[in-house]
Amino acid sequence: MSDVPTSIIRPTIVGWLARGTSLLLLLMLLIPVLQKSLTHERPIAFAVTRLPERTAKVGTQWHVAVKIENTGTRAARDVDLTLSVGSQEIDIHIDLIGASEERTYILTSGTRDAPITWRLIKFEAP
Amino acid sequence: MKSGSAAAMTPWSFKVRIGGIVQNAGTAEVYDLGRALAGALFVSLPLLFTEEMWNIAKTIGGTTLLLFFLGAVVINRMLLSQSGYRRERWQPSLWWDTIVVMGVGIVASAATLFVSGIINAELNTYLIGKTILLEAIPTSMGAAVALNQLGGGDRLQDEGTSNPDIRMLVGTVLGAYLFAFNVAPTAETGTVVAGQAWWQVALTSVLSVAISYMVIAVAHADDQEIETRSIVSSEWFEAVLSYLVAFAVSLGFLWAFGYADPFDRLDQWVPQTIVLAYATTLGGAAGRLVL
Repeated sequence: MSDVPTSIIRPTIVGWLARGTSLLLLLMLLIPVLQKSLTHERPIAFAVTRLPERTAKVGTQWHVAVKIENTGTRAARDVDLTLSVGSQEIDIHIDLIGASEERTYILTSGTRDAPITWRLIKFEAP
Repeated sequence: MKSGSAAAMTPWSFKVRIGGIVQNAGTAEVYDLGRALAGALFVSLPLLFTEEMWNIAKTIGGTTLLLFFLGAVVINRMLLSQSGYRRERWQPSLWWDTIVVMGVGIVASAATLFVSGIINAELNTYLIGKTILLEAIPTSMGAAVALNQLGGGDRLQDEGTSNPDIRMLVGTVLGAYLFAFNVAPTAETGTVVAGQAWWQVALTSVLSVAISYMVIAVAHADDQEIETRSIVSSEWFEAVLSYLVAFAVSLGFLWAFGYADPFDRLDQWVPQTIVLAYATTLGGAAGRLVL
């Protein structure tokens, strides 16, 4: 049994693993946030991209995957935009989308490569 | 290495006496970490399932989050000096223990958010990081007070100071911070304020001070600590001071979470701060009793 003052007992391998892992996790999470904080602020903006790898034919229809991304450095609330695939037009509402956050929507279309257009109606900058 | 305690690493089988029980140092360390993990989830699981926390992770600025996180590191260091996750303080560095509770908070938060589907591989890594960091703040605090949460006795080491005035103030800040975290992220304080008349807001403030006084009076009925203080030597002064601390902590939370800005008009942030301070005051008073 230990006959030395307990205050000078060093960690076992478990203790060192816990310390090392914790430090690593902290750095892994803090450094990217710090890096983003130091970059110039970009205004809220949106990018709409087709995702061919997630587009599939179901029955006679094509399920076309479309990604909407907030490319700004701040979150946006109550985003309204209109997406058009071929002749089909749909209204999309997003309650809250964070900086660099992406949302994927599946739209139905008669053809795989129907042109996609979009129009931003409004958003709120918190 | 029987006397390997002075070396960089203690062997697993090195015998230590923890809580009157002789056990392997490695086993004791596993128990300590298990206690930290349980304390982390015990305190913060409700917040891990709170939608407002996920939304705040999206809206909070990176710099604000970093400041908030660094503040939590200091708070955790203070909590560890008063409580902790080890049944006995058998290792020397509280700063290393602070790093470990932050790590435990990250692991507990990430695991819970992942199995709940809140974070997944398709989500943006920056947003994942922000969500985990934000949730790890209360989770790590749970780990830092695991001993108080899960039994094992109140430590009340207060190694930082023997000044009873400062000890009272530190206990208030820590309790207020810990307790307020369960209410501050939710939208309910705003909902409460929306339905309140001004006289109800004022009454909330009076009620907060009264409750603070009641808890203090009950606490001091059992001890004579107040007589050892040189500055905060009356129960009413302590009640008002505690309320002011709770108000400041509440305002800090509301600012960090984007619910209030002290540079806005007073009527836009004072009522909500008063409502949150009701909970925070109770936490501060309880903090002096429990921590």
